[in-house]
Amino acid sequence: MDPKLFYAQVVQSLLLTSPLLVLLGAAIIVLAADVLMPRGWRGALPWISGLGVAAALFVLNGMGMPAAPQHAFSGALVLDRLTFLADNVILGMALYLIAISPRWLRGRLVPHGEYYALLLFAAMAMMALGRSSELLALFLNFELLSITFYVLLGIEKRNARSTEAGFKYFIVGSTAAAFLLMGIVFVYGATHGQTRYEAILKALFDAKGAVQPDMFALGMGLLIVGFGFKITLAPFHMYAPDVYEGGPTPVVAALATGTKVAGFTALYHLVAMAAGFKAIPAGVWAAFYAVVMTSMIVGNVGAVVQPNVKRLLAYSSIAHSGYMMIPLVVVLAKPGLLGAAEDAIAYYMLAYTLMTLLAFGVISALAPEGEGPIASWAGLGRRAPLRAACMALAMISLIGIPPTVGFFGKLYLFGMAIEGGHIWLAVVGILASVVSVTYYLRVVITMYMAEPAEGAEKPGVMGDAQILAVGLAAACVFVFAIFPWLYHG
Amino acid sequence: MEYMIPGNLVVAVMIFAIGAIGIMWRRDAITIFMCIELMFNAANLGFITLAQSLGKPEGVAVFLFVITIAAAEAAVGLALFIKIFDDRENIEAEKLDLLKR
Amino acid sequence: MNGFLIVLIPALPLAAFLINGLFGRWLGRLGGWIAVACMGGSAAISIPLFIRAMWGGFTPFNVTLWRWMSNGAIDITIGFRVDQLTCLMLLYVTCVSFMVFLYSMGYMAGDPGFNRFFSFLGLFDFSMLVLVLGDSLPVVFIGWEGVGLCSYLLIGYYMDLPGAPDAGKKAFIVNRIGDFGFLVGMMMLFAALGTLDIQKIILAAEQGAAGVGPLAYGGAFVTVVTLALFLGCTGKSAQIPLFTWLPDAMAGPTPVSALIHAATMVTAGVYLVVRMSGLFVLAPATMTVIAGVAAATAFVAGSIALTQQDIKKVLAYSTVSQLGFMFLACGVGAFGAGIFHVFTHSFFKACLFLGAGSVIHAAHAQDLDHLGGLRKYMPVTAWTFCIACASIAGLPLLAGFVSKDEILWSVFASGAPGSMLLWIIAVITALMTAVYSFRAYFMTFEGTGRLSHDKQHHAHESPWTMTVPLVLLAFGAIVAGALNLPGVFGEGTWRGVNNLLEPVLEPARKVAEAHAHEMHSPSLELALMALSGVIAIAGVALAYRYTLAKWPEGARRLAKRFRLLYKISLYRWWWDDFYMKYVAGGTWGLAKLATWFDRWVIDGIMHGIAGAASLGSRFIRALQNGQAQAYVLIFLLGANIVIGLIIWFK
Repeated sequence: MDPKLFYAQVVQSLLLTSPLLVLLGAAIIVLAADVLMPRGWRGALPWISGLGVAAALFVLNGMGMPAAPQHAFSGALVLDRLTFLADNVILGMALYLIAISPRWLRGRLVPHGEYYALLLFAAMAMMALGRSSELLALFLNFELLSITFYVLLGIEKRNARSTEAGFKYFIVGSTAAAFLLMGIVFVYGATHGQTRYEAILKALFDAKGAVQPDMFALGMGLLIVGFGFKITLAPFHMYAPDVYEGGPTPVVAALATGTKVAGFTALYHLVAMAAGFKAIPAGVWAAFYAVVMTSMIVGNVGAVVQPNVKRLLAYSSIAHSGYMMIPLVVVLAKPGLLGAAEDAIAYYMLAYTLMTLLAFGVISALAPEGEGPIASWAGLGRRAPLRAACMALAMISLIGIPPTVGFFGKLYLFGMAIEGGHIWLAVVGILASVVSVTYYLRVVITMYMAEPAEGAEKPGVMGDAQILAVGLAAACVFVFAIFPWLYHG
Repeated sequence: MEYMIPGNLVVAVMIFAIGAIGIMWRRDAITIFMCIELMFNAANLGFITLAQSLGKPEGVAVFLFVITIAAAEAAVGLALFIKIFDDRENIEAEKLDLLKR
Repeated sequence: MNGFLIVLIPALPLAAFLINGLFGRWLGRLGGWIAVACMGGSAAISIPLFIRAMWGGFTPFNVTLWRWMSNGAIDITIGFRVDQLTCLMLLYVTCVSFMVFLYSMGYMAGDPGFNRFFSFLGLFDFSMLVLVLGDSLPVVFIGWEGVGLCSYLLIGYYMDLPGAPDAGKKAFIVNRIGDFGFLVGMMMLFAALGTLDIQKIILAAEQGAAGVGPLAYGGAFVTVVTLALFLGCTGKSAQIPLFTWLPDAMAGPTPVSALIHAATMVTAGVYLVVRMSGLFVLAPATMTVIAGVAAATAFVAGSIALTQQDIKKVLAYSTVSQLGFMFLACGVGAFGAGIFHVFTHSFFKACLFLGAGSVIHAAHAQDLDHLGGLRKYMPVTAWTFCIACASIAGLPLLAGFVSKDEILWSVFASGAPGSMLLWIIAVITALMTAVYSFRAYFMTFEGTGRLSHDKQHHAHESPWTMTVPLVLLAFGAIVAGALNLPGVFGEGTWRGVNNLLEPVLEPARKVAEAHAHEMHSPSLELALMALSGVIAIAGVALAYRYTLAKWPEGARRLAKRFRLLYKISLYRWWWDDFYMKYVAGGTWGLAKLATWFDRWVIDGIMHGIAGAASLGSRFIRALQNGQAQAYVLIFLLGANIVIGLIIWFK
């Protein structure tokens, strides 16, 4: 290749990935600052990280929403409409977590520099995973994200629960990574050595039929198994309740939201690649369908008797992953609906992130007493009215009551199911949502109706940044419901 | 164009299955981790086999990436195991059940 | 006129709401002035818009703001429709609101909730303007709910006043019933047409008139839809059977009564019927129901107004009665006359309420028995009140005369079923209107003062912020009729409003022409016009006789002679008691039945589901044994199922 052209392509690729590079730089600065700065200045770390994320947001939005997909590094990464939106959501999440972290970290044995740096790394890995458009890049980014979280989950010293959460995530995550890798091997073999999505797409619809359909279907099946771990689909979800309970709350919030945003973006690209291929409708489609159904049922049913609020949110996240899969199941057989599916997923990832972050923000603001059983939240409506109201709002939105983002998000998703002709997905989804009312409302009722236990104290005050972040998230739950175009134009 | 599935791929799948079963069976966290490595390497074998039979030598390079990733994982994993050992003087997976139900 | 200015019309009151709601604490009185300025800005945009619509070149246009939801089956854009009807509505809503805002500067001065009041008013106007501007039923419904919300908030504004919170609650519940009707109608339309865009619905209605599509003329579907929508209107616009909330709503501050419960919000129902006129004319049965309900409401409310003691209650029942007139016009197909009465009514009724507020402000009394002789203390209020009374009573050539006469003639000439009966009821009601309005005027401003001594001492004219709106509104009450002179004077330029609305009402007119036989007789029209003038004068004379000349013996004798009628009027036809006793009682019985059903059937099913769910939940919890290896086991089982499925379906 002409060296001039090569360098131009490298520069172009670096420009396209500049938000990631900014995050990377910020993380390194945070690490260095942690070592070099006097100990008393540690309060500056969240500010540096926040500035880094803000700079990344600035750079990203400076590029604007790409009209057509743009590839970087010979097609290893892609920037298109969905990844642009996902990147925004991920960066917003990172800002939110940085804002709520200082208050949560107070009095805990957590190395601050590593914590913030790893949060930035995690955000970068999420963006990279969402942007993957080549199988090897997919695996690398998948593992990059996993490894970051192995460390982040176990980052709290002298806390056996935190360590255990990291351990469980590690065991199941590594197994899932192996499955993903095996899936890649099969797809690689089936398509005669293609790894770029574009090339695979071309090979799949090549009239000569050079692709091994059975091998390809098996590969897709193994890939969905691997992704099932990342986006907590049942039955690959078993680790989730334990990890959510034991992990540091802000980290779990990132795990529940950003990881899923990244996972769904990556999975969407995979599905978009394979949608409409003749081998898909039978086998892979059945597997997708089964996984979605189990997730919706297991997530919602599992939460019903769950007394721990973080575990409850774990089941809730399983259920919501099930809902979010609906468009992917639909387009697998009907590639004509790809655009609508992209819209639905893009909107729901924002909606889900907003309401889940709101809930975790409140939990972290009630730490450490509020991180346990829901019963300890009794009477919170009077003891901490702002936090109780925000939590109630999060629950209402998670149920899907208008006019919140949760309602419109679900409307899109179930609308997709009906449009795609999968009435049963919509029916089960709606029934499952009805079941979900019981456990979400249980939280609200405990906060407002139940009498607090003897000697229950007023929870500690919130930090300013925390109030700002939680309040903004609460406002956004309405704002993006009423003005969805603010988000995806 | 039909082609035979290379025999080594079958071997790879078998190693993969052995690794998966090992994860469930072994007690020791270190051994469990070795089983995971086994699964990774099964995939590596698959990659190399396919690259060979498809005549795409660049496919062999994949295994370098995978090994690197596995090494990173091993580093983090071992750190976790040491932390667990600090807490409880053993690293038996089934005794780690503070978080349940 | 570009879209930006149109958006500004509702946006300015919204800004007033936000500024007063967020920063009111620090702004104080300045916040109120900002609100007045915002409303003035809206009016300043609406007036030239109306002038252009009336006399200049104007083509209706849409302002699409954003696509709210688009997902194949569901496609809702938020947008505004600016046509001739909108221009007319905008004109009076913004102008009257501006007057009321200005008036409130004086009336609410020193109130502890001053800024809260203005923020609610701003929110109200925003919602009302969205209602008027909305280009699809969901947008209209947003406004519809918004004005309702503000109405409850403002009725219950004086939280410690006995009855205010209850009145708010009552308004809430009654309106809920109406809104249910609106929603049902909307959903049925959506199910049948797949759209809720008003223009598209009217287009479908035109096709229906030609016998194409689901909206066939006189069909059951269109009848049910229009009846459901009309149920919504009876709630918002206080018609039988849902009118009882409006008189109670007088517990709110008087400017609120003037703006929300007389001039603007309560006319939303009429607006909706006129906006959907192309649909309503397709259901002659619904039209008959509307006309019948409207005539009954006008008559019942008018008769109640005759004997009420509270000046605001008189005006409230008068509003209900006048709303009946408007719906009556719609019911016989004279939509233009109906909306024109909305227009003129807003001026004189707002003027009456603001005058009453001025009296309450000055005399701290609102019972007619304790007022009287106030003209010498507050001449401006008295004269403007008198003019507004003359206008509502229908003294010749004033605005109220022009619009009411048009309604009477439309009823007479419509050829609708039972039109003669409707006409007779309407004429009697018109007589009662003259009587009760002048009764209120005479008992408040003329004759001997019945105020207690120290209150009389304090009675004074109100500040300019209150009198200026009164004078302007009174002026409107005189001249507004000139916009739409009766048809006998020729079909030319002066038939302004009818000509203006012609494009909007065209679909309805076409249907009406095909199915009804309207009467045309200029000489008869003139004769009836003279008759309504005579009736109005007779009403004033009656009021004079019994409230001034022969006060109080004459009135007492009259009450004794017509004891039954007096009682019926005084006790408001026992309407509220009926509701309390039978409807509430019946509801209770129904509730018992529902409880039984709930306990044995619904609960049974729910317990079944809940039992299964919690059993399943316990099972899932039990699986979660804390062993990482067990989780891997289930992971692998899942993977095997996936692989198995793929091989199975091969």
